[in-house]
Amino acid sequence: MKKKQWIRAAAFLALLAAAFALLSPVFTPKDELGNIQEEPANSLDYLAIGDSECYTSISPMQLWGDYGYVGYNCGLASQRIQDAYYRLKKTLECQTPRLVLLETNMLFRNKGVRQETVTGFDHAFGNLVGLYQYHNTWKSLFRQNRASGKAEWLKGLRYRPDCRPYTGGPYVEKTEKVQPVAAAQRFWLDRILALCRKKHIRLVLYTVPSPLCWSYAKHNGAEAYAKSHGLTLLDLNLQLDKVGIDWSKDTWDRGNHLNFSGAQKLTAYLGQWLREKGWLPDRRGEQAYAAWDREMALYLTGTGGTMQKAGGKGH
Amino acid sequence: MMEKLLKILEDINPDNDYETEEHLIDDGLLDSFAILELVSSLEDAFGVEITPTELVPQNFNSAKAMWAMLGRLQK
Amino acid sequence: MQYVSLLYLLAFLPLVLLAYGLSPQRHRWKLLLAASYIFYGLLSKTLIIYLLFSTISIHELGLWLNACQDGEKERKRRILWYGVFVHIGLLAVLKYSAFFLESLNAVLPLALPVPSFVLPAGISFFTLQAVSYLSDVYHGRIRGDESLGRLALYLAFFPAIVEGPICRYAETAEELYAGRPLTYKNITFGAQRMVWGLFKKLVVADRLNIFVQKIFTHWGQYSGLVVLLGAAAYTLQLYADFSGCIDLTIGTAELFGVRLPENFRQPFFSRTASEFWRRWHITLGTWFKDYIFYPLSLTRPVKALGRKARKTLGRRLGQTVQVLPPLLAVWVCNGLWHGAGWNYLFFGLYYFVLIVFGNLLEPAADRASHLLGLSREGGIWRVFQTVKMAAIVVTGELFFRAEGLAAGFAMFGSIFSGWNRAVLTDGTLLRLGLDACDFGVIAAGTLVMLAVDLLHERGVCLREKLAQTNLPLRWTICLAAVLAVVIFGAYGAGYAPVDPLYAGF
Repeated sequence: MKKKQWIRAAAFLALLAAAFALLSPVFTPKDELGNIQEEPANSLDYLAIGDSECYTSISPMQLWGDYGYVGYNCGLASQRIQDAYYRLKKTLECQTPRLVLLETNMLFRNKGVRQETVTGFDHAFGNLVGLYQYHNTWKSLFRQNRASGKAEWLKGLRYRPDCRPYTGGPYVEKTEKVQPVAAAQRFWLDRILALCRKKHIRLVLYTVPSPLCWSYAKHNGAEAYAKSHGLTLLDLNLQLDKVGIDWSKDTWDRGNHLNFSGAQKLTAYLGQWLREKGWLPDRRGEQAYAAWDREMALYLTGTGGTMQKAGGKGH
Repeated sequence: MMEKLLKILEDINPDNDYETEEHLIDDGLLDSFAILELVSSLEDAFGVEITPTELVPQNFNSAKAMWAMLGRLQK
Repeated sequence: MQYVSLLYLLAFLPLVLLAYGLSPQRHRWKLLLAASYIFYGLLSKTLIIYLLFSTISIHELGLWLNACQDGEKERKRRILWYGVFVHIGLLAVLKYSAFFLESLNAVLPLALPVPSFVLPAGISFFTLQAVSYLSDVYHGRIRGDESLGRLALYLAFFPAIVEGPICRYAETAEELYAGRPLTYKNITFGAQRMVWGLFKKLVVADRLNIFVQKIFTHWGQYSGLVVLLGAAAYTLQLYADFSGCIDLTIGTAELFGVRLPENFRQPFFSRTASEFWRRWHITLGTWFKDYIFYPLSLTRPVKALGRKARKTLGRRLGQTVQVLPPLLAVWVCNGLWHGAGWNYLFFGLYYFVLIVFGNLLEPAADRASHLLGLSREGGIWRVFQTVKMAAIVVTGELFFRAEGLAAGFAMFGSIFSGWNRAVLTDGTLLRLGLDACDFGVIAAGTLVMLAVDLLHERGVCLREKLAQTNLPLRWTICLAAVLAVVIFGAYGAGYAPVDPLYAGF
C-alpha cells in the first residue's frame, strides 16, 4: 500500500473516532448513574457497590435515621465488577465518600476464560465509548422519557416487602476449600482498590446472607484476598444470629436475596458495627442535610413506618 | 454430425444461439433439467455413455465443447 | 468468539491482518492457517479434533487416489466410498442419531438411550467441502494435495468455517495459497462489504428476532395475520441474517485478497422455486447438484428408467420421471441437512413437490399466458410471479422455523381460521416486543436492502460506484454506514445476542 493510502485510511479512522467521541456524550443519558445524581455534590460519606445482593441489603435512610450516616446504595442487578469499577469512577467525579462497601457476590461472577474475555472486551469498549454502550438512546428522541420509577428517598435500596421463605435449613458448613477470586475479577478488584487508595477512601468487603449465592469456599476466597491486601471482610453469613436473620421471614425469593425485613436487620447490625469503627460522622442536625430529614418522613410512610433493631435476641 | 447436435440443442431450449454462445453453463442458460435431457439425447443419438466425470462446465459451455467431448467418447 | 463480536472485529482481525501484512509472501497461507486454528479452538475447544480428523483423512485418501493407476477403477471407487462413508457417517451420527433414536422410540415400544452430542462448529459445512474434495480427486478434476497444511487451510479458513460458503478446492485453493499482498482496494472494498453485512444482521435481522421469537415460541397464542406476519418477518430475518453473515465472511476474505464464491444472488427476484434455489444459498445448491443430482441421474438404473419412461410417456413426462429419484434424494438431503427434525424433512419435500410441478406445468403456463394475452416477460406476469414466490417462500419458512411439524401445520391453518385484519390497527402488533420506532427502522433497513438488491440485479457494483465519487461524499457515506450499524444495531442492553442462524445447521 502506498504511503498516501495509509494516510487516507488513518485519517478516516481518526474521523470515525472523532465521530464516536462527539456523539458519545449526546447519547449518554443525563441520569446514567441513576438517582444518586440528584444528591448534592460531595455530600455522601459512604457508598455501597455491588449487584442485586447489594441493593437489597443496605438501607441508607435507616442508617441516617439511627446514626446520622449519609450514603448511597449503588447496587445494580447482575452487575459485573468491571462495570462497577467504571460506575464508581464516574460517581467519584462528583462525590467524595470516605468509605466504600463492596458486596462480594460480584467477585464470583465468572463465566469462564473465553466468555470473560469476550464480555470483558465488549464492556471495556462500551465503558470507553459511550455511543456503543448507550446507542439505544436514539429511541428516546421519539419517545417521552419514561419515569425512572424508583423513589429518591430509598437512596438506592430495592424495596421488597414480600416474603417467600427459605426452607433449606442451616447452610453454613465450615470447609478448608477455597473458591478463589478469578483473575479477571481480581484485575478489576485491584483497580477498585487502587482507585480507593488514590482518593483516600477506605474499602471494606461485605457479604450479604444468602443461602443460594454464598458458600464457605467463596468466603475463604474473599477472605484470602482481603488478608493479602489488608482489607476487612464483614461476612454476615457468619453472623446470622447476631444479625437476627430469620429465613422464614427475611427473604423474598427463597434465599437468593433478602427482603425489606432482612435489609432492616442487616442495616441495623451494620450501623452498630460502623459506629464501633467510628469511621463515619453523624450528620444529624447539619444544615446541609436537612433534606434527609424530609426524605426520612417519606421513607417511613413509604415503608410502613417500622424500624427493626439488630439481634432479636438482645444486642 | 454437428447439425445433429445443434438440432438436439434447439429442441431442448430454442432460446439460445448455440453457434456463438460460449457460456451456456456459466451463465445458467441451460439449467440442470435441460442438461440431463441433453445428456440422454446425446447418449441416444451418438451412442456414447456420458459419466459424471464428463459433467463439467468445460465440456458443455458451448456446442463446440460438446462436440469435442463427443469426439473423445466415441473413440 | 463469534464473528459478530467486538473481540473478533476489533482485536482478532486487525491482529491477523497486521501479521499477514508483515509476513513474507510464501508464509502468508501458513499464517491464515494458524489464525484459523486459533479461531476454531476458541470457538469449539476440544471439538477441533473432528476438524483435524477430517483434514487428515481426506489428505491420506487423496494421496491414495493419486497413487491409483488408470486401470484400478474398482480400487478408486472403494477409496472414494470409504471416505464418503466415514465423513457422512460421522456427520450422521453426531447430528442425526438423537433424532433417529427418538423417532424409533416414539414408533416402537422401545426405550433406547438417546445420545446428545455437541456439534463441532461448521461440521455441516466442512464435511461437504471434504466430500467434494474427495469426489473431485476421484473424478480426476483435481489432483490430491500433498500438503496437509494447505488442505487444512481449505477446510478451516476462519471466515468461512462456521457458515460457508461451501468452497470447491479447484476454485478456492489457489486463492488461499496465493498469499496476495494487502492492497488498499481489497481492504476498503472488503471493509465496506463487512459493514453492509453487519448492517443487515444487526439492524434488521436481530431486531426482527424479538418479534419472530415471540410468535414462534408461543405459537398457540397467535393466529391469522399475526402468524402470517411472523412467518414473513422470519423470512426477512433469515435472509438478512444469513446473507449479512455471508457478506461479513466474503468481505473478511477479501481483506486478504481471497475471493470466495457468492452465496446469494438477489433471491427474492426469482420467478420460480427452481430459480429461487439457484439464487439462495447458491453453494449448497450447486453442491447437491454436482455431488448428488448429476451422479445419481447418470447411474445406469436411472438412465434406464429415463429411457423407458420417455418411450412410454413421451419426451417431456419421461424426462420428468428420470429426474424424480435424484431430485427426491437432493431434497430429502437438503431438508435434513438443515436440521434433524420432521419439519425439516417436510421443508425439503415441499420444495421437491413444487419444483416437480413447476416443471410439469411449464407448457400449461405457456398456454395460459397465450390465452390471457399476457407476455411472460411483461409486468403483470412478473407481479403474479413475485406474489406467488413470496407466498411459496414464506410458507416454506413457516414450516422451517416452527417448533416441529405439528406446530407448523397448526400455525399454517391458523392463518386462515383466525384471520384478524383488525390487528393492523388495534395496536396488537406493538405489543409483541417491537415498538413503532423498531418497525420504522426495520422498514427503512428493508428498503435500503431492496434498493441495493435492485442495483445488484442490474449488475451495478456499488463499491465501484462509491470509489468513483469524490472523497467528502464517499467518506460521509462510509461514516454514516458505520454509525448506522452502531446506533441502530439491535445489541446491548435489553437485547439478547442472536447467534448467526445458519451456524446451527
